[in-house]
Amino acid sequence: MTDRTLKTSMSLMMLLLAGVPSAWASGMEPMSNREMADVRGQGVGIVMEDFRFAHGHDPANNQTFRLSGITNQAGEDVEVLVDQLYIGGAGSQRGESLQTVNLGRLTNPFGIDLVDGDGIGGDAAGKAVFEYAAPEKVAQAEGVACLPGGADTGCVSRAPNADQNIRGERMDLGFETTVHSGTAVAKSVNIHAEKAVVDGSFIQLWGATSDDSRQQLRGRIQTNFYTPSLTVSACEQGGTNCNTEIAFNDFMMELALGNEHQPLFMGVLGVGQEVKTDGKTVAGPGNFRLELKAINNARSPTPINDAGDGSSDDNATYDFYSDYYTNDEYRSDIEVGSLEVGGQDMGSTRMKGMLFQKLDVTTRSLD
Amino acid sequence: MAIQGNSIRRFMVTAVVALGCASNAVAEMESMSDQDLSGVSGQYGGMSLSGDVTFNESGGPLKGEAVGFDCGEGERCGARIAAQLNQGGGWIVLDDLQGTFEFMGLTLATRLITGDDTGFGGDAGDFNREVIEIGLPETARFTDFSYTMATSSTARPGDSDFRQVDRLTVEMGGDMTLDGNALIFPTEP
Repeated sequence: MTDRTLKTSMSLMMLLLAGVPSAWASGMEPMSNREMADVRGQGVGIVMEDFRFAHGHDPANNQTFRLSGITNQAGEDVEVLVDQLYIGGAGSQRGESLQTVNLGRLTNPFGIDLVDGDGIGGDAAGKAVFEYAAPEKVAQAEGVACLPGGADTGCVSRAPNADQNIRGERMDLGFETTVHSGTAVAKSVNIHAEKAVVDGSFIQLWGATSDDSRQQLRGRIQTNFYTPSLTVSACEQGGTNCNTEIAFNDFMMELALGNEHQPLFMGVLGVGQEVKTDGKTVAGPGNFRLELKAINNARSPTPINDAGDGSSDDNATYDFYSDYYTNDEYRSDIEVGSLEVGGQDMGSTRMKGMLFQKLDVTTRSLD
Repeated sequence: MAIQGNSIRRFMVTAVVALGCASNAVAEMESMSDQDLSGVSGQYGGMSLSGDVTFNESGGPLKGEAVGFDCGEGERCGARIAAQLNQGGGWIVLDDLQGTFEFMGLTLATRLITGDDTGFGGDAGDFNREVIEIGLPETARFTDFSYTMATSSTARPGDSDFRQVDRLTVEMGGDMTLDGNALIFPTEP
């Protein structure tokens, strides 16, 4: 009865994230106004001091680290041996000499907090919101450059500086694997990021009010990732043929999944639930579903008029859409300063101002 | 949330606490004057923990075979934790959780961060407060530790219309590199 699927790394990541909210999902209840008034903006700050982590698959040292349960498109088992997974300080030379790092600053730490949803507004208004957040970004004049030499100076995580007694809050992290896919020759797939910063990232989760027709956990996820060097390489085992390295230099990602008007819903199809496309059932019970509320459903009764100029709309509706389309916070950016493939510079790449108006993704079994 | 068949077989913690003289003090207990009390200030102390946690070394949930795990003679079948994110919907499952995690020298202490603390730059002096410090263990070791992440139509394998999609199985073993301290403190309102 067990289905096995090939899944994207995206769904994998979402599953990892989904592990966090599970504890709150089952027992979540709306709070009364009185209870809400007791919610104070005081949370728990966490700083990892002098931190490093590494683990890898090395049978000679009795170490195992294996990922399995994945199948390729031909239905063959895929086994991933994680040769090394590491998180450490800047200058670790791809994990060869792992340095220590501080994650978060005492004055701007990673935080777990219960915040008042009124400050978020929209779907979160009147609700208590659970938040797990990386150090907050600050005004451009007060912070440090997110990318060394970059124009965005709103980050707070600093580079190491022995003179100023700063260990540094920028991390080197990487993932080296050997992939055995069916009967194919084993391949190494390696991903490394240097001096990475995640400032401004957060996960916020909230529940449904009792009169909501959709009793489901929802939230929004902001994923910021800045690194001067992100490399991806695939080699034949033994590493003799490794000239296919792709380097994303000065990589910057600010991904906004969900907002107060369009919460992100994560769920699994239950008994009797299915997803149909053109009348055909494409996914049944047991599959994972990720949805972003469509913006035209976010405001009732009707969306903006056809002319789009507000002439026949009430002011509130016009203002709502005007803000939605002009507010930078709802938009996602991915920029690569220079893309190098096998040592050849391919120039810069930019995807700016992406706005997710609707998202509905469901996994399905291949067999 | 449904938890099925998870048995923590052994949970052994040895704590070395710097309170060896406590028993002597009890016999001669006296009330303190206000003046004496005013001289008492907070002490920074802590303890060291070593131990191991084992999940389902032998035995496991009923009907584990329905999920495709081999729970036969000599084979271990792990714990299952299922959580439902939407009413009437399916379940996110951490399944077949088993194995041992050993740690030696995990420390728990209170600490005052001052300008003398190194590595923080000017932050330490600005901060100048107490924190709870969890010192990550000197040795952290997994033995035959594994789990499977999955999504499932029902909470338990025995329920009707049970259908599970396994996503990923993770196996870990051996010593891992884990250094540092977790500093935990309330943030300012």
